[in-house]
This record gives sequence, C-alpha cells and structure tokens, in this order.
Amino acid sequence: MRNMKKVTAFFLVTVMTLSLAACGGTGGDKKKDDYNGGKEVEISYWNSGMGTEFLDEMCKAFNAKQSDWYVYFNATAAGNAVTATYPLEDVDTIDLYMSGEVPDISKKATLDDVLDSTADGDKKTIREKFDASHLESEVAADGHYYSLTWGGGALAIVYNKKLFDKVGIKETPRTTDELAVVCDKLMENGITPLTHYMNDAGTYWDYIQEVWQAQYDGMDYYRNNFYACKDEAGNSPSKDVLTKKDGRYQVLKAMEQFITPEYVLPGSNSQDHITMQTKFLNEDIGMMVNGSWLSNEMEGTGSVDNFGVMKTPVLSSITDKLSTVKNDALLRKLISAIDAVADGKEEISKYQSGDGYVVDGKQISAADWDIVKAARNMVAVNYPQQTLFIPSYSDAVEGAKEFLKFFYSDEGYKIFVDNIHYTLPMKLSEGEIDRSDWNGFEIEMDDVFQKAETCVSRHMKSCHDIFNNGGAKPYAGYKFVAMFCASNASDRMTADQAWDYIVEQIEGNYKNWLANIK
Amino acid sequence: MSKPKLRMPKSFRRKSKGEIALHIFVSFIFFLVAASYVYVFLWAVVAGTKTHTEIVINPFSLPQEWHWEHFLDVFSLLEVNGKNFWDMLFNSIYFSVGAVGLQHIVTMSFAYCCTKYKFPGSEWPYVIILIMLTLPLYGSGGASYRIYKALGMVDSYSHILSALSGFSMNFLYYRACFKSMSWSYAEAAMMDGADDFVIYGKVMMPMAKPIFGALFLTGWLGIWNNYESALIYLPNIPTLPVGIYQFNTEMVYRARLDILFAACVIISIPAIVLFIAFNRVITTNVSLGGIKG
Repeated sequence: MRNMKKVTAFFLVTVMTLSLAACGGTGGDKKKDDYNGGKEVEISYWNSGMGTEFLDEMCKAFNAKQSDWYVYFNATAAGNAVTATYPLEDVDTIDLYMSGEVPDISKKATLDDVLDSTADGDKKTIREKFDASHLESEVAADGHYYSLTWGGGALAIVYNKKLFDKVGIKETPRTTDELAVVCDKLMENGITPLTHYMNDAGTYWDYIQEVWQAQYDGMDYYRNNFYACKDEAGNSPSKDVLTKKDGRYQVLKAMEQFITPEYVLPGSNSQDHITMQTKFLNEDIGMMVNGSWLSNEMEGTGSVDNFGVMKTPVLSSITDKLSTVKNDALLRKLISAIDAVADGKEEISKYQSGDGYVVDGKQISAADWDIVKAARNMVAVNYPQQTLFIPSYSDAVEGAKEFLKFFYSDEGYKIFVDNIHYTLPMKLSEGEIDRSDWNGFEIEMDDVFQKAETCVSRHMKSCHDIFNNGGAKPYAGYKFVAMFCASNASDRMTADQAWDYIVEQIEGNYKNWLANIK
Repeated sequence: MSKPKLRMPKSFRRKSKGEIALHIFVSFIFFLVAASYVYVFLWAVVAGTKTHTEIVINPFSLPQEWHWEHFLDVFSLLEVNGKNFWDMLFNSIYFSVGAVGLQHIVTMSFAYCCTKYKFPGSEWPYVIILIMLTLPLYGSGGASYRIYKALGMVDSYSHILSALSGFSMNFLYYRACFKSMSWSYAEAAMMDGADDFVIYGKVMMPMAKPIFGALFLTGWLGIWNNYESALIYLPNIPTLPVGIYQFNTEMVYRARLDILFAACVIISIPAIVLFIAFNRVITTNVSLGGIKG
C-alpha cells in the first residue's frame, strides 16, 4: 500500500512538473541551429513526392542571407491537412502555404509585386522569367495573381525503351491512331501495352485528355470559350458550351481505340499510382502516362534509365479541322517534318513552297501546318495544381514575400532544380540549368517540357467559377477510362454511350452547378 | 451390501462425442481467429524484410534476400518535421502514460467522492455523463481547438492537462466499483483513527486496483495508437503513431512500403509485450459487456 501511494505521488508530481514546465513554451522546437534572430515566417508544406530536402536547403540559404526574417516549415504528405487552418483566421499561424489548389482567394495576399520584382543578382523580373502560357493559368479572374506554382510538373506518355526495341518500334507514335497501332504491335508480342492507376481524383490520362481537347478545339477556344463557359455569342455561363460535341467527344473516340481490356493491365482501375508505377518499372508493360516526378517517387525501386518520354501524340481527328491533310498517314508525315524542324535536324526551307509547304510530295497549307505545329507543341502540366499563397491576415506577409523573391531568384531556383531534377515553367535570368547529373528519363522529360510551346492545364485560376466552385467538370466527373477497359463486359461502354451519359449528367446537374456559384 | 456408486461431477465425466466435436469445432474457430491476427503480424515482419518492389509484385512470397536492416533504417528514416524516432517515442510515452494516468486518478477520485459521500448534487455527474454518452456532441472539435488554443495547450506539452476531466465513461466503471464496495471497511478504519484521505488512499484505492489496471491498460492502448488528436493538437510534438501516419501518407508519393511495415512492427511491439504481460489483469477484470467491479 505504501508503495502504491508513493508511486501515485511520484507519478502525479512528475506529470504536473513536466506539464507546468512545458506551459511556458510550445513543444515544437521550431528554431533550429540556424536561427538568425529574425521574425518568424512559418510555412505549411505539402510533401507530395518531392521530399523536403530542397525546401530545407532553401530555407537555410535564405536565413543565412539576411536576419530580418527566419523561415521554417512543417511538412506533411496529407494534402488536406496542409491547408486545414487556412480559413481559421484568428488561430492560423501559417504565413505561407505550399499546398495544392485552394480556389478561395478572399483571404489571399496578391503576389503581383513579387512577380514584378527582380531578385538580387538577377537580370530579369520574376514575371519575365516565368513561361507566359503558364502565367495565363495562374492569373485570377480579376486580373491579379494570388498564387504561384512551386511544384507539379509536366505529364507525358512514358514508354519502356527496351520493350519498344524488342518488338522493333523505331519511332514513338505521332498520332492517336498510330498509338493504337503501337499497342497492337506490343500485344502481338505478348507485352501489355498500357497501364494506369485510378483513384477518386481520377487518373493521369485526365491530363493528356486536356491536351487532346485543346489540340482539336484550338487553344483559344479551349481557354476562352470552353473553360470560360462562354458561347460564340458571348453568353456566359452557357450550358451549350458544356454539351457541345467538341474536342471531348473526339477524345472519347480516340481513347476507345486503345483503352481496352486487352491493352490495359488488369487491376489498373483500382490501384494507387505508386503500386502501378512499381509494376510499370519492373514488369513487361509498354507505356504509362506519368510525370516529371516519377524518378523522385520511385527512387530505389528500379532504374528509370530504360524509360523514354514521348511528345503527346496528336489527336488523329484533328484532320477534321484541316483542309489539306485528310488522312492519318499524311498527318504523321507532317508531324515528322514539324518535329525535324523543331529539333533542328532539318531547315524549314526544305518544306516551304509558295504560301504553304510540301510534305511527302503533298501540298500543305500554311494554316494546316500552323494548326498541327501548335497541337504538336502542347504539353500537359499540373503546375497550377501545386501552388503557394500567403494568407492576407498573416503578420509576416512581407517576410513571406521576401522568401518568395528568393525562391524564384536564380539562386533559389538552382537549389530547387539541383534537388528535384526537373524544372518549373520558368527560366534562369541568365545561363542554363545544369543537368549533368540527371538521369536519362529526367532529361527526356525536361526536353519534352522545354521544347513545348504551350502549357495545357485545366486547373486555370481564370476559368469560369462554374468549374472552380460550381462543381462542373469537362466530362461531368465520369470515369470513362475505367468503363472503356472494365473487365466485366456488362460495365463496358462505347465512346458514344459515354458521351450520351456525360451530356445527360451535364443536363441534370447544370442547375445545381449554377446554384453553387450564386 | 453393495457399495453405493460414486457419481463423478459433470465436469469430470467423460465428454460425449457431440461435446468433443463441438469443443474441437469451437477451438478451431478460435484458432482461426487467433491465427488471422498472428498471420497479419508475421506478414508485416516478412514484408519489412523485403524490398518495396517485392512487396508490390509478390506480396505473399518470401523475400529473395532478407533485409533485416530495414528495422534499423526505421530509426533514421522515420522523421516528422525534424523529430526522429526517439523524440516521437518520448512523446508517445509522455502522452500515453501521463494522460491516461492523470485521467484515471482524477476520475477514480471523482467517482469515489460522488459515490461514497452524499452531498447535494452528488448524483448530478452520473446523470450528466449519461446524457453526454447518449447525446454525443458532434462537431465540437472546432470549439475544443479554440479553447485549447486560448489556454496555450495546442502544440505544447501542457496539452496533457486536457486529460484532467472526470467526465467520461470510466466514471461509470469506477462508480459501479465503489458502489459495490462495502462501507464497513471504511468504518473499521475510522475506528482505528483513519481520516477520509487515509481511508481513500489505504483502504478503498487498493481495492480498486484491479479495475484501475484494466482500464489503464485499455486506455493506454487507445492513446498509444491514437494519431488523430495528436495530428490536430500537437503538430510539432509528433508521437509515434503520427510518425507512422505521416510515413503512411507519404507512401502515396514514396515507394518505401518496406520501411512502413518495419515501422508498424516496431511500434506494435510495446503493446504486444504489455498485453502478454498483463493479459490476466485485463481478461480477469473485463467480463462480457463491461468491467467487473
């Protein structure tokens, strides 16, 4: 009994003492060895496969450069947890969020002044360093910038070079019809042509679909009509825009050819992307849509050196929009010519003839050349999905902005690139990125991105609110990829059935989407 | 005169074939249930020694090469915001043992006073707790967060003081326990000159030790495995379950299932050891549907 009493007393005293001692300060020992005496700037960081090393190094470099601000970060891989405190203005201590998309701009500080600043040692403003087509996706409907990208990457079809060599595929597919032919060839040789992952949010095909839609409809219509939900007469929002049989229908028709139960690895519709990527890198699978981050995510699980990256094939039905190219064979030859010119292998003068061009002995109009060239040079990106922003109520807005100026300076950007091995949609103010220690996959992926002329992403900040907050989605959220390759025949749908279903969903939900944005 | 036959008690009699069959059947079911738990644990141990690729490609095979070093790698790779395994272990022990201990000492004392001393309102806590249990307050998380924040108990070791509440389900167990204890022990102690504190500390509390032990262990297990509260209230003081949760979340973007399973095995060991050591305390004091008084 005496022992029990002693143990209880000791226990209580210990706990009380520790608790009271701890009352004076927080347990999170945020200030590390490099504390510079500056005012704290707290970052909430979403660790979405890029690791924390680059940010750690960047914070240390910034803290060493000046003593007015001290930047530190908390990292989590749980995307929702990163911004959980954002709306709680009175209790939120975060000064800079590096997170996913947060459409609500009401409590975000503008970053226009950051974009127009020039970092110490740089020769260009941050705005000038950014890719112009990317900035178009970051600008909000009111013309201001409230967020900028800090991560994400480019997406393209990644292929297994060894398997392509094995079956004698010399050239990556240039059109979607040719992609189906490549799938056939792989299949004939006992190789599973495709795999993908799928979760509630969708699949990486979603990004390639956007490129194909933009290729068919043209970037102008895609950005200023479809995502502005504005019809030709200027009415916005317009249901007709959403139900119009546009590039999305052509995407369905194209994908129906190669997203089939025979071509797609069983299980692709139900497994996460790390699992499917592991299988892709270690089993006999021909292709998978993937992004710049593949190498980082899969470090240590298999070499990515044998994997190549292809430019996104052009939607074969683009010939509907062309006057002088009416078949896929000629379209492929035209694309080869455009690629050869872009890669500097041939002079454009070789093809020029009068007002137009001659490819494979066929006359091509200048307009057709330009349409196909624009389509071929589009790249899918998800940079606008990983954005940083400063809450306007933060008491360290200036400190956070100073850090951002460093982040996008040549010095900061080099830290980023050296750690991550892929680039943001921006250039150094002078000089080139050193890629000497990058692997083959990283270089190919970066080449595909750097040589592209237009970044395509549906995650545009300026798109109509019916998409941002209303709930509208291009395909009404219908996972047709899963339906096209469903192993159960009764679940399978054709492109036409899928389109009818999508239109039905749009008709049924349109009023709700409008109500959501009122 | 013949000797009367000795009739053996029923339990000593030879079992009928039907009883034996039933016994075997029930034992087999229990064996399957137990084996399913053991299998999961062993599978995790084996997975911890494989490579990530092996786990994905051949989840049920034995490793081509046993990587026992993964269990050591956990100590260096499991890190949350600069806090390593040992920091998280300290935090886990501090909050699980400290908070549960505090809560039970407070609740036991509270229940004792309300049960053994009659004063106006002595029955109110019982009624209030019953109402609280029947009508759980959904959506109170935001209010709790604001209160703790105002008290400086968010992201602080002082958060352990939030356990200082007697209003919980445990109150009912302790109340039932003390109700069943005869007051004549206290009267005898009083005749020997014991005051109220001595009676509680030397007579009543020792008699409540078994239920305290059982509730403490089950409560400790709950807190030891709880990551949700720690994620919200202790973002910079991560506990081991938070570390595992964060690591598991990172698996969405990171191919290290091997380390994840090795870490799961390591953090489940304390709970398994404690259960093995104290399973009699738990099983003899927990009866179907409640806890023995």
